Amino acid sequence: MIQASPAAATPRLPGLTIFVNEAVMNFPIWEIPHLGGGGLIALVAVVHVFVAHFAVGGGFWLALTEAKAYRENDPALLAYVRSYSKFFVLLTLVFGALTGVGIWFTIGLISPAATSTLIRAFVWGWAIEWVFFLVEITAAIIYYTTWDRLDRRAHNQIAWIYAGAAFVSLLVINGILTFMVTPGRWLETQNFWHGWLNPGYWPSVVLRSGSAIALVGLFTLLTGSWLPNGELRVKVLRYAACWVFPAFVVMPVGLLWYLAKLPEHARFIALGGAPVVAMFTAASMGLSGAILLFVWLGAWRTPEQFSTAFAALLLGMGFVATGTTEWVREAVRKPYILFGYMYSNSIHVGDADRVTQVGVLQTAKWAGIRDASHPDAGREVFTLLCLSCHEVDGYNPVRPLVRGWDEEYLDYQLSRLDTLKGFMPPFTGTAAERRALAQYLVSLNPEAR
Amino acid sequence: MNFATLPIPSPDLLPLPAPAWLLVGLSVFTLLLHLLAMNLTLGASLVAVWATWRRNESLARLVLNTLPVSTAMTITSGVAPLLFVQLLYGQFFYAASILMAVPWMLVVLLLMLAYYGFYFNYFKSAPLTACNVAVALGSAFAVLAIGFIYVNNFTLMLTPERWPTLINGASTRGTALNTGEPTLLPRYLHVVTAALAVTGLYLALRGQLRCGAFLFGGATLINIGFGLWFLFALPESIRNLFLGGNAAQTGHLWGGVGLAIAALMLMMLAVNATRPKPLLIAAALVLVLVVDLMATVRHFVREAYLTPHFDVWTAPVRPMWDVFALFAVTLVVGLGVVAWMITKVIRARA
Ligand code: HEC
Repeated sequence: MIQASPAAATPRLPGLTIFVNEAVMNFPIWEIPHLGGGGLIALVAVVHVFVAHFAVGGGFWLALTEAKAYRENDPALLAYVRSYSKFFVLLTLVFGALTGVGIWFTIGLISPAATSTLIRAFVWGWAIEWVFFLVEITAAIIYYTTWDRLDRRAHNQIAWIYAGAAFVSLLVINGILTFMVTPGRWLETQNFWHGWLNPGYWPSVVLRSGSAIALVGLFTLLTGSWLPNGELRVKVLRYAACWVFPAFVVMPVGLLWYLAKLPEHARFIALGGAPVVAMFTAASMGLSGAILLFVWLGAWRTPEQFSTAFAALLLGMGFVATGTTEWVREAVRKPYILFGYMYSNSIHVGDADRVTQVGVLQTAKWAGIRDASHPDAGREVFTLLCLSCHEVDGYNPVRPLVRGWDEEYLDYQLSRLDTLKGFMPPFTGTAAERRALAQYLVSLNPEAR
Repeated sequence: MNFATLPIPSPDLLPLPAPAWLLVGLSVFTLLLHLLAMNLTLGASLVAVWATWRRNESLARLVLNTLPVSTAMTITSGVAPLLFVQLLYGQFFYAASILMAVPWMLVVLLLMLAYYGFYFNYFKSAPLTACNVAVALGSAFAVLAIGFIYVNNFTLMLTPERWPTLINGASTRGTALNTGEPTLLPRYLHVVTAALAVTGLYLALRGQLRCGAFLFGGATLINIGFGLWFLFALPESIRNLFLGGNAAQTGHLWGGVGLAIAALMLMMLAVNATRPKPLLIAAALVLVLVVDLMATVRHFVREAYLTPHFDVWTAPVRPMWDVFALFAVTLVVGLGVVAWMITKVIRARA
């Protein structure tokens, strides 16, 4: 039951109504012009995932390549691994770790309710991953500062510790990431293990491992291309290609398996239900295929002619492929932020009916307007219900989407928002709020009337 | 102020995953670790400016070698208390963060700049040049700014009565700071000065005895002043808890002050001793205890501020002991591995 008590008005928040013990639309909304919250999350997340996957693959690369240099008694290769370790630390320990912190900051600001859920549901999972993070950081610092101090065996052991810790962190985080799309039985039980070891868990491990190996191969092509022409350069470039090839066996398997585990609705979106998403899925696969082909033709067949520019291009393609894949993962989760539990606009699925009855302007704690007949009510409804996915102009802009729609048509479309494209939650508000929103959306395109 | 009218978010629907005492305990303990590392980073980044500017090669070498590692430790140890504050006080923390979203996001950018600056000076510092000074200055400025932003957020989350004045409607551009807060400045100065004191002790331990002792002594004395300013800037009802109103809380605060003075005396003995090391180690142990007491006092202050709105001790709990046990085992094994790696390195030097 909602317990509403109309409260004395404060100057800035007129007509504030407070709901006791109701976790409905609890937080203020951070408005980022044009980019939008979704855009910012995408930006930070893609950059981080790109470097973080490299960090995981790179651990195994360092351990194996260092051992290879010892085994083959190749001082030139060893010197290369040593300089690689500096590049690796500067990229992963600083940029990788901080963008990871950045994701935390970002999701807390953009989707505080969902972030809070993830923390409450998985706090000990986060804590476990933190232990591995600690081991990882210590091992990385020791590894690159003790080339001259530790004996070969001990130094190589440190690399293995780093690789193991980094991989286990991926295993831990992966459970929480996949939970957001495929929460499985957790929805009924709220049991940690049901949520963490969810249906998407293993396919995603395979997919992410493949991506980690592929990216370390691509980074090796870049650093290898910096080497002076000669025997070592050819050796390193071909060796790098050997990391890329197996990844392209692993990743498609992971992808198909993952698609099979997606909820019906999400799979429908990914495989053609929504043309944009299907296009992105195809782009991600097409790019991956092109990378494979170019690595084979360039680095494997003709390493002598392989240039730094070409390596950078391949790495850029890898970045875009990572970005599109993450984007698809985001897209198939819509209209939810936590599949089946919470909509993208932070409304709990279980609360949707109540919000619809009572009204979003009444249930949102921070709404500045409580009255649907207020001239600015439509804009406030838009802020509360739509801003998580739409900017007016900019990220997924609503202005062009509603061009040419009149008020009646808009009101009708809003009443069946959840069926429009399969991306959107149902409109959760009263008929008066819906009308106010329709009027606001019509006012966005004055010339079209 | 009628608290019932404030837009304070409801606590998360999911119960706490462990009893409050465990979560609060872990939150204070991990904050202690973070404060030690953070103090060293903040203090060393300031000392680095001075040392590079005066071309003091040996002092500069010491702090510049310390900074990359201490920063890594600061970040790693900081993740844990940030996790627990979101778990225990998420409804306050997220709301305040959103109101100051832009500066809050800037933290990540500033930290990245500072960190790369530390690495730059770590790799290129012999002989010291004006470039090293400029980079050290930039990094120190970034670190100081981060501290200021943190103090803004962690005071704003305690004062929901200020929230409605910082926003108009449901959305915000997120550019607010909590500059109307009377404790903001003393709280910030108290932390920065404490960082200099901790760094002074570290320098003394690492062979810069006179300079370290001077820094530690000076900062500690000044900080008693800032601490009193902070205390008297607190709302009266909260201040009184530490002036006899609550025996345990009063004991924590003044015990901490007393021990800080004890550490100061140990340091003075060390400066004139023929074998200063044991005295310095004793001073360091006492100082860790001081920081621990102060971290606890900080928690008492937070609870006192939030008491009218929320009581973490009565929040619903559904413990996940099995996962917690796994965490505990992982922690023991993880720390074992870290210790093993560090002994390997130390042995190898011998
Ligand atoms: C979960 C994220 C999400 C939310 C919340 C959301 N939308 Fe959308 N909406 C989308 C996506 C994605 C599209 C597809 C955009 C495209 O096709 O370019 C879309 C499309 C639309 C369209 C065009 C539909 C068509 O058939 O052409 C309209 C109109 C629209 N949204 C309005 C709204 C309004 C109004 C709200 C708030 C009540 C809202 N949306 C909330 C994600 C969302």
